[in-house]
Amino acid sequence: MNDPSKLDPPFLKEWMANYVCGVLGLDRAAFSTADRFDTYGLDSVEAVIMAGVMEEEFQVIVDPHRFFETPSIDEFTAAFTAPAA
Amino acid sequence: MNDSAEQIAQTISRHAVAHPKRDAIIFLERGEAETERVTYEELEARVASYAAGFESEGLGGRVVAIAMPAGPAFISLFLGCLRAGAIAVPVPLPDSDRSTQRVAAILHDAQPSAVITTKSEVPKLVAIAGTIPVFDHELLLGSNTSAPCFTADRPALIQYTSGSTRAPKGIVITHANLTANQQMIREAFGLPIGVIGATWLPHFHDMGLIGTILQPLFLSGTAIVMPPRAFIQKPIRWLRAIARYGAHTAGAPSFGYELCTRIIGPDDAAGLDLSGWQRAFCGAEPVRANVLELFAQRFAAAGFDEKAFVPCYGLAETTLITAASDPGQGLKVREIARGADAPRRYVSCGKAVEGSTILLRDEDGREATVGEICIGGPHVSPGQWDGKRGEVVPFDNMLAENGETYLRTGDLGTFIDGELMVVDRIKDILVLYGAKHHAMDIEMSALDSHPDIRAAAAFAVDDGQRERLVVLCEIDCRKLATIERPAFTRDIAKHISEAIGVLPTVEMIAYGDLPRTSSGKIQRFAAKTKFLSGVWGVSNVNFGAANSPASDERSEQT
Repeated sequence: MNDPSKLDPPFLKEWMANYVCGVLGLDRAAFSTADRFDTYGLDSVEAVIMAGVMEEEFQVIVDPHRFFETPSIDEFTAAFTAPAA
Repeated sequence: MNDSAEQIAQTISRHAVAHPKRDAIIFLERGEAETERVTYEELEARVASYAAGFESEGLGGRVVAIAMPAGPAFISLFLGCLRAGAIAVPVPLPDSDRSTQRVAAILHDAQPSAVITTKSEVPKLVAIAGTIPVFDHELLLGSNTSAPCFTADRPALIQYTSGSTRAPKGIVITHANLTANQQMIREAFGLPIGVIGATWLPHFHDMGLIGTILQPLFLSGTAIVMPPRAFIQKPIRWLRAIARYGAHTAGAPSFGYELCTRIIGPDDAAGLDLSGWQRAFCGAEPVRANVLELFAQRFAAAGFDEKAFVPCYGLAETTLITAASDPGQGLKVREIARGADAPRRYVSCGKAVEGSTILLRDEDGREATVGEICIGGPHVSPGQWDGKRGEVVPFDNMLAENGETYLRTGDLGTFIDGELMVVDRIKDILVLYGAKHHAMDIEMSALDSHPDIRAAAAFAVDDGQRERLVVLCEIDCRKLATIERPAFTRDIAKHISEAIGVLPTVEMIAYGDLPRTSSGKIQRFAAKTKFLSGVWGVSNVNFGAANSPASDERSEQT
């Protein structure tokens, strides 16, 4: 529990992309994980909700502030799964 | 005004004598494990200590902004402020660009004598507050002194309500307003002494502070408190707290119930015991029948009784509540057809609470079947705070009738079988995710986003589940033909989202297409009607055919 470095980055990336596309009604095929959250409509309330769903799904603690610090799926995944310094 | 009415901070002292060991506050910082328990005896000691600190710093009777995280420290500090006769201005913590702007705008408007916050937030607040002194709340704890004597018609707090950052409006709530409304809530909801309530609502807003924190404390009960983010992150935390502590009363705007139904699956729902939840109140934004019905359905297996719903109506100008359904009645839904539109379902918000009077009036102040809701009673605020002059300025939207004055709310209502149905908003305030936003702020943000945008109209459209923000932007015809629409609208939506935290649907239309008054003012209500009619050929498919706006029986103000 709560060791994000054990998560598989490509799997996490794919999960987040599917979640975001599902919630926001976006076309997964046309969606890029490099886009910033705010460009496709993940607003602050939805970001906090996603953090909660991720905690359930992956048994890790997700501080929603991290979505603002690393504001794309690619950036977030890289930072979140990096081994703790 | 009744000078003999007991003030809320004095009520705590009385409870501390009668029930010293009873829990006043249980705090769940992350919404799960208990992080702090505060008995009435402990709460009283902290309140007295803060009150002494206010006095020794010369803040008694002054306006003081309080920027604290949710939890017992905020509650004790707030009550200590009131006991010292200081006027509290609860503000959010500046933890984003948007909240920083909002805090700055409130401080500029309220002109407080000091800002009180936590040690770690002091540098951030110093940067925002300019010359206003900023205190770490822990340095304010003093030794007990006798409570000062002040009259009930003095301001207790200034509630900044609307989301407007350009024109913040501070509603003054007196000690008498607070006590009157606490009594009204108690009677309307039929709450017992010692009631247990569970809340995640923001403590710096009227519904959270007055309805869910002060109400249990007023009744020598227990407030189970978690921060809003803990709920939004995992809505089941709120329901688990209700089950675990046997909360009798807990409520939220429709959006809170909608989030529970959306995120909590049937299996998790069935694992809860919500049979003790007697008063599930719903207010602060339009009460949505389908959202509450779905909630009742989802949580029936958990023992939730749909008769627990208490839809209610109120606003910051009436301290909090002004009408509520009879407890135990549940939802009363009526279909109302307005003009040529298809009938829509409205939820009854019940009768005026004891001591409150509700009139429906047209624009000329005549009685109306469907009219502006006007409210009178001891819970109606005396006016708006003028920080520059340091005084209360009466509202300019008061109705005088038979020697009494009534607040014109800007909401449109009708009575069916003596029960209030709120059918629309006249005022240009949008409620999105439970937070209020001024249409003008959103439009200004659209105008700031690109020089080619000449005018904009922002309004909310009901998609059947919640209100969605739509912003129509006018640009020159020639430019409209050449721009790449998807990228253009996405940039504007992004700009607005960064400014207000909600992503809008943006549509581009030709300059001059928005309905305007003879004086050139944009008519948002007419723009919404035109948008939903599909006349512009822009996308309104997501909003469904059932979402007709209220018909234009009245003209918009010029």
